[in-house]
Amino acid sequence: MKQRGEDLKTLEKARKGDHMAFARIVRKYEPMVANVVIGMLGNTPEADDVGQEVFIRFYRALDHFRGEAALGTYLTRIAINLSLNELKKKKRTVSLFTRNQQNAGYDDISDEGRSHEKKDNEELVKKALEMLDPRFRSVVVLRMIEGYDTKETSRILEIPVGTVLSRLARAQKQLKKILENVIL
Amino acid sequence: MDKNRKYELLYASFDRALSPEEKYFLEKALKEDPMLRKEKEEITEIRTNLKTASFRFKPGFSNRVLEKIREEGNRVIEMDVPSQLFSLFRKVAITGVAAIIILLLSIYLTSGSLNKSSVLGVDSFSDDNLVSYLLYEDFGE
Repeated sequence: MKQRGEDLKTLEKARKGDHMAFARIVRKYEPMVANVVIGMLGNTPEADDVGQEVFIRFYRALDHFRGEAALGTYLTRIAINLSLNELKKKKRTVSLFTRNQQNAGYDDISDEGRSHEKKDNEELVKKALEMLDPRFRSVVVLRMIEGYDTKETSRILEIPVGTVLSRLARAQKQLKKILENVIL
Repeated sequence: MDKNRKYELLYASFDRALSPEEKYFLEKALKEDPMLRKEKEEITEIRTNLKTASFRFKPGFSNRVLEKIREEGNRVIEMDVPSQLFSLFRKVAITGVAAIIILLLSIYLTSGSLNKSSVLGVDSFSDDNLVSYLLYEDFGE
C-alpha cells in the first residue's frame, strides 16, 4: 500500500513533465519487466526492444493510469501482452528450418549438461524455459518467477484459474522432461 | 490410488491449497511411493531455480528508454508547431468572419439594404451634403 502511494506520487510528478520521476519508475520496475520479457523471449535483441516498448507505452498512457491496479501488475500486463505479440510475430516467420534448429538446441542442452556437470542450474532452467510452449511459459514466468498467485496470474493473462493450474501442471512436466539428465 | 491422480495432486499442491481429503491422500501416497517422492524433490528443485532466476537487460536500459521518450517528445513538438499555427489561424479566421457578419447585419438593420452605398456608409449623402460636409471640415473651426 505504501509502495503504491509512493508510486502514485512519483507518477504525478512524471505527469507534470518531471523526466527524473519517470526515470525512477523505469529503474525501479526494470528488473521486473526484464524477468517477464526475457523470461518470455529469451535473452534476445527483441527482448530489449520489447522491454523499452513496455515503458514507452506506459509513458504514453500516463494520463490514463489511475492506479486501480498496482503499477507492477499494470506493467507486467503490458510486458506479457507485448511479449506474446512478439512471439506471434516470430511464429509467423518461423520456418521448418528454424524449428529444426530449436529441436537441435534441445539436444545441445542435454549434451552440454552431460559434458559440463558444473554448468549453472539457473542458466539451464532459463534455457529450458525458452523451449516451453509460450502458453506454458507465460504462466511459469508469472507464477514461478514473478511470484504472482494463481488468481493474479489468471487476471493478468485473462484466462480462468483452472486453466492456469492445468497449464502450470503441464509446464512442470515439460520442464522436467527438458531438464532430465541435465540437472537432476 | 490412481497413479495419475497422485501426480495431479502433487503438481496442484504447489499452486493451490488442497482439501483435507486431497491432502490426506497425497501424504499417504508420498509415504508409499518413492517415485512420487522423487518427483516432488525434482519439481521443488526446478521451482527453486526458477524462483531465484533473474533476468537483466543490457546495461544502460533505462537511459535507452528515456532517450527514446525524449526523441518521441521532440517529434511531438515538431509535429505540433504547424498544428498550433493552424489552430491559431482558425481562431483568427472565425473571429474575423463573425465580425464581418455582425457588421453586415448592423448595416442591414440601420440602412435596410446591403447595397454598395450602404456598405460604404454614403447612402444618405447627396452631393450638396458632401460639399457642405467638406466645407465644414475645412473651415468649421
